Amino acid sequence: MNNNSKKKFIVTIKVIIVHIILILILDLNAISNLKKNKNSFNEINNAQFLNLKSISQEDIEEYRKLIKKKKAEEKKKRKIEADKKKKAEEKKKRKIEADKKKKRKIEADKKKKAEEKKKRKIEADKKKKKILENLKKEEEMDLISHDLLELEKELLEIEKYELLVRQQIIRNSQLSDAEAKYILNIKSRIENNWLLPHDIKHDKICAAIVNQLPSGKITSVKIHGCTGDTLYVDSLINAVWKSSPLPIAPDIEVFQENLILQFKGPN
Amino acid sequence: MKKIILLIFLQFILFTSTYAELIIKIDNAEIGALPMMIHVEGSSKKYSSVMFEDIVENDLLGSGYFNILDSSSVKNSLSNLNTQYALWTLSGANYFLKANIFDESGNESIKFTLHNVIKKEVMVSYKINLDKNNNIRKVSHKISNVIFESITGIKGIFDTKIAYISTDKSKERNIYKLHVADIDGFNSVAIYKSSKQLMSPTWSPKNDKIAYVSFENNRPEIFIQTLATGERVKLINGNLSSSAPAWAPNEKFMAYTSSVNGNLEIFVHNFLTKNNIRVTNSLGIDTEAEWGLKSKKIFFTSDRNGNPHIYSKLFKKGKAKRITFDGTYNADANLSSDGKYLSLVHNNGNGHKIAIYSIKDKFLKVISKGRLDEAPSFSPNGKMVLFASKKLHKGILVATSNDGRIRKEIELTGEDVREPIWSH
Repeated sequence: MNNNSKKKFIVTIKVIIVHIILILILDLNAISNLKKNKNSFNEINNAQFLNLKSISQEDIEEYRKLIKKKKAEEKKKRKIEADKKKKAEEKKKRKIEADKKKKRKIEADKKKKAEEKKKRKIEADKKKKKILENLKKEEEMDLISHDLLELEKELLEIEKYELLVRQQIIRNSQLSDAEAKYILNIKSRIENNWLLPHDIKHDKICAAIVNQLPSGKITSVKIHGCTGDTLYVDSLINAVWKSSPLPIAPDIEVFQENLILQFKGPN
Repeated sequence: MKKIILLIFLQFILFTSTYAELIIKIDNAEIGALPMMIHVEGSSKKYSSVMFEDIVENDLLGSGYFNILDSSSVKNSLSNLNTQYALWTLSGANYFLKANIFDESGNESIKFTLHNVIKKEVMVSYKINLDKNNNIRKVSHKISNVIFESITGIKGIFDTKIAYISTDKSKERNIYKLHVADIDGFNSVAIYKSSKQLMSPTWSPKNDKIAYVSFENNRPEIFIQTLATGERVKLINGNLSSSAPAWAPNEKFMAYTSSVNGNLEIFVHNFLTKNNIRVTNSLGIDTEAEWGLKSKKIFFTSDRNGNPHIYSKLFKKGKAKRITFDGTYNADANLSSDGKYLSLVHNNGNGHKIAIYSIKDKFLKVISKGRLDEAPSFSPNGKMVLFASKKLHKGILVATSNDGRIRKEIELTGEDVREPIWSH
């Protein structure tokens, strides 16, 4: 084929396509029209068919009337049906709407409730948290305060003890003074009464255990660890007995029922 | 934890101050005689209570251990013993000797009770039948002994004897006497008399004999006289001079001084073998032997180093060892019965005095104050020393406590006494 024929063919195709498109558009339009009057078209067809069958005018008239009537009836019926339908639909619609509404409401409610619940929960949580926190805080505070209390208590006790100790120290010094005085008194009393004849052999260590009453009255004298002369030992015993009653303790607390006298003779 | 520590601390503080017992040191005593009272009552015709009291008082006072207080103003027959003790305590007595002479169905007795006034207790109580022991002095000395021993724990020496020499001087001749007497000078008996010099009496260990030096043969010779019989025996036969006898404690030996070529040396006579062993050998004078307790050692006076001093030597062997170094003169040693002390004549430039020398401590202590004191001898218990002294150019005897504090002149029959020696 040559270029011309080729061009002719293309143009032909183009024309055909355009024609087809035009036909299609027209067709579509016709179809749409047809669809609109489909029912009436069918009735017409039916009527034509009947008319064809009866072939009388009257019949036709009558038929027309009948058709009209029928049409009216049908219209009426259709209208009623439509109404019914409409009503039903409306009802349905309303119902649906109501349902919807209801549903929505319920949902909203639900939502609201949920939200509320959530909110409440949150709040409760918050509250709980807060309470917990408070509790914790309180607990901590409690603990702290408890610790503090304990500490205070201990401090008080320590102070008490310190006071006691201090008092005791003061008392001790008083007592040791009293004791020193007491010891000195007893010592000088016994030394005044200790009479040793000359040239006495004696031990370096010679102890007398003396029992006395608070009045100073001596109740017993026992000599321990003495291996010196009889005279020496007797001189100790005599010195002690001669000192009875011993000086009274300047403080009753320094009084001792038992005295240990350590005698050390002259060298 | 803290509390516990605190409590422990507290307890510590509390307990450091409060001992279960108080400990007191007593280290200052008064050195002195023990105050004592003696009261004897119930004199009879035969026995005077005053005499008892005097003898016992004299004995105890002379011992140096007692200070006898006057009991005449003190009521001492209270029936309440506690009151009695209180009264005695007030009077200052530590001891109270209460004696009572009484007639018990014809037998006169003395009952004596020694009270410890301080302890308020009876220490001893005895009853002695006087009719059976009719020597009042003897009984009194016995009582003194009991009292002394009860209180001091030391054996009493009041019934022991002393021997001494006296010289009765007359225009024509001197009479020398050897006496034996109670320690207070009473009951003196001259056991030997001589117109010749008597010297250096010494007791046998059993106190049954006395050895002494007599110049009856115009030279010093040792005689041994038995007290009970008066029997006299010359120690060494022959015409050897011998002096300064000393009886060994075991009675086997007699140490004495004899001259060898004019130099005095110590010899030991063996009673069993009659042998005489020379103990010392020096250029100086060795004399005045005194035995050690075990009869092995001899103390003696020697001037081998110039001045007289005390030496000691084992009598069978070894070298003499000088003992005294104090002063310029130490002589005539007498050993105490415990072997620890020597009494001796000591001169440090101011006269002859009696001193006591402690062998262990090498310490010498002068205990007499005279200028011509001599011939010391210990009492058997070692607590007193008897020695001769001079008073108005006459010899006297003095008993002193071994610290020299109590000095008692012994009243004696016989004049110009010297060379006393205490029995064992």
